[in-house]
Amino acid sequence: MVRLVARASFPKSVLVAVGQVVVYAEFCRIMELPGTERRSVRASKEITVSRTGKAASAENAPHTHQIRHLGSAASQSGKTAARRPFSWRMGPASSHHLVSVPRVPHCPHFTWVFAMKRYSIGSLIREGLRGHTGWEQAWRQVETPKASYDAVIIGGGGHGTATAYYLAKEHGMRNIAVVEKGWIGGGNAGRNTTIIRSNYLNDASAAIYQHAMDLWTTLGRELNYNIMMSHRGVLNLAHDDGEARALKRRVEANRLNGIDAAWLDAKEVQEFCPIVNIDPDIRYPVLGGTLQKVGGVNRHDAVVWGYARAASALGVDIIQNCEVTDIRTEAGAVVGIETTRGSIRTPKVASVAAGHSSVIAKMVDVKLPIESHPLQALVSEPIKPLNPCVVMSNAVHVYCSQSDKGELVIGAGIDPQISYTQRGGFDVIEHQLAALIELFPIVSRLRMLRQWGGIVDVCPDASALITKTKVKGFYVNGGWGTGGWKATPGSGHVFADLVANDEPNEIAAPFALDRFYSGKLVAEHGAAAVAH
Amino acid sequence: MFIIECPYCGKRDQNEFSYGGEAHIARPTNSDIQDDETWADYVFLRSNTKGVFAERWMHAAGCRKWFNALRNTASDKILAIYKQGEQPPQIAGEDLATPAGEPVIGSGNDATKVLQPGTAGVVK
Ligand SMILES: Cc1cc2nc3c(=O)[nH]c(=O)nc-3n(C[C@H](O)[C@H](O)[C@H](O)COP(=O)(O)OP(=O)(O)OC[C@H]3O[C@@H](n4cnc5c(N)ncnc54)[C@H](O)[C@@H]3O)c2cc1C
Ligand SMILES: [Zn+2]
Repeated sequence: MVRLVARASFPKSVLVAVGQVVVYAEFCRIMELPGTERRSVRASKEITVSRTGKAASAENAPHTHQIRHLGSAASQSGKTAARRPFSWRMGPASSHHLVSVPRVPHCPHFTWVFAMKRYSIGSLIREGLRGHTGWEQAWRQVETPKASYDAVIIGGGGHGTATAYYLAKEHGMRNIAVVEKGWIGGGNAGRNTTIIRSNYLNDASAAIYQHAMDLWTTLGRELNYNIMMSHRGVLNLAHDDGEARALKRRVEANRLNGIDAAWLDAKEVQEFCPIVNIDPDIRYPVLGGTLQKVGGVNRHDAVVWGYARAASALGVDIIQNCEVTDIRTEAGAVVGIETTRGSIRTPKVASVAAGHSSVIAKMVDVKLPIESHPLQALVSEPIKPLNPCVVMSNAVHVYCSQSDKGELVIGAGIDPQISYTQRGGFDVIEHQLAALIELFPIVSRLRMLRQWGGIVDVCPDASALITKTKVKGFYVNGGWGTGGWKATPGSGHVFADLVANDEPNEIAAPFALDRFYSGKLVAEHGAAAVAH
Repeated sequence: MFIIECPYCGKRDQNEFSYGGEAHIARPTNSDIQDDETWADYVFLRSNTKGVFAERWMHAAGCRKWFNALRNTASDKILAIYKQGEQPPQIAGEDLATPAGEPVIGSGNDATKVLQPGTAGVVK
């Protein structure tokens, strides 16, 4: 029939284009991409927009409660949680935060400085008809930095590009640059297993990770970039009574903070993820686990490229293959940087260099409580859909999801030694695969395709640093260690606020460097162990 | 994974050793009168050096003795092993390829391509 029609009237390219659109639309539906969410949910999301860290006005409060209620109801039923927005309330009743982002067209600040063609079904059809010859580059190439900027961000990973975007969009700082020594997204951003969840124990962590989660749910639409956000659910398994108790406690703490969390017994775990081995007679029997349905995975490159593209459209210079070699100060304040593409004058330097945070900080004689370790991941050969969610286990130590290509994506542990080589030991991944087979005997004959390593910046309390320093104009965002991907939008958002206003907002404040002097640590080893 | 030469037992697989982190961090004396800055520095702050780095290892599955190593954390090359209580031998920093001190291969650092030769290799 199609053939007939094709022969009869249409040129083949029309059919190809229509076919692509149908496939794309179906893909969007399956992946729950922006634009396919239910309208009602979106409406409730956009009731109020209050900037993070500033006390929400009184009329916001009822909405806050309303959405909180929705959130906890959803998490209890465990059914629709994945699509529900959650708001975050921190501390005493005095400060209600409704942390949510406006859609692009509604934001008063948002004007595209450089005209870039928006991606849409229309553009897909048009390009399908033209044989994909008309796509323009996603962001402006900047080969030579300007002589001066109002702020320079060191590091073009997820957190760096996000910081640039929010600085430009929400703080009107357009004369800024992101300086990246390799290609943007080539660091941990491009190497991580993209597990996203917000079920952290402490209030301070819950606040920032949930802030990120709220932003993730609408990010694809906001950036006009398909980040392939998939809220497929994250399971954390318990293998002994102590672990089960700790995880149950975490569920209760999460619920008190309005965060989606549920406890599943072993049978329910297997219902949710049929390939988990729940035989009670194995070495590490599965006693149960927590489920965060709103958790999931997304596409790391797309997040970085999407942020870079939107930031670039707002006027931000993205400068690649440009390494920062020194930071110049005068009278205790930043005045500029040296790079492999020349000197740049700037009063503000924001270091978002992940594994290299200490190296950058050393340029201004700031010592950090960070140690850098290799962390590895690997993927299997592609197979048919097998693992419907993300499964994490601290006791056997493995975390695993399945990519859209069909590869199992498997995260390993860190090597013990400090290293900047982006290489880890073979024994570490050998251990990972032993753990994987313990949990999923079905994959025992699967072959592994690729393996790689990143350098993660680990803080002693397993929480990040978002901080000013003793040097005026030098800010650090780092120490995210093995689990910072999930925080990307939230981290960039509150860090931009810090860089613009020189004061941390309420979400960022607990992550300042001075916690190591005051002793007010944000200990998250329990929520994190090594796997995040 | 490394082959590490225990000064007492000889060359062994890294699996036999446990890692002790940065070496030569002295506990502050007069602990009753030290301020928070000094304590934070001692307990939490680390040099996290990229380049030649002094670190501690313990031969856990062997003689169970602690010793020190000098290793280039940018290349993972072990440059010297010396006993607990000894001072690190003087080692000239290796000539590294890029400003950030990475070897060209495997670093993912394309900044090397825009560099003039000879400007690199400051190990702080
Ligand atoms: C194998 C692995 C698995 C992981 N899995 C998860 C996970 O499942 N979930 C999760 O939440 N997190 C995970 N993480 C952690 C997460 O990847 C990081 O916390 C996060 O990506 C760090 O932020 P970033 O994206 O900004 O870092 P990066 O992408 O590393 O960005 C830092 C950038 O700074 C640049 N830079 C450094 N020095 C200089 C200089 N001198 N001049 C210019 N540029 C410089 C680097 O080239 C780099 O591009 C994982 C990490 C790894 C390695
Ligand atoms: Zn020995």
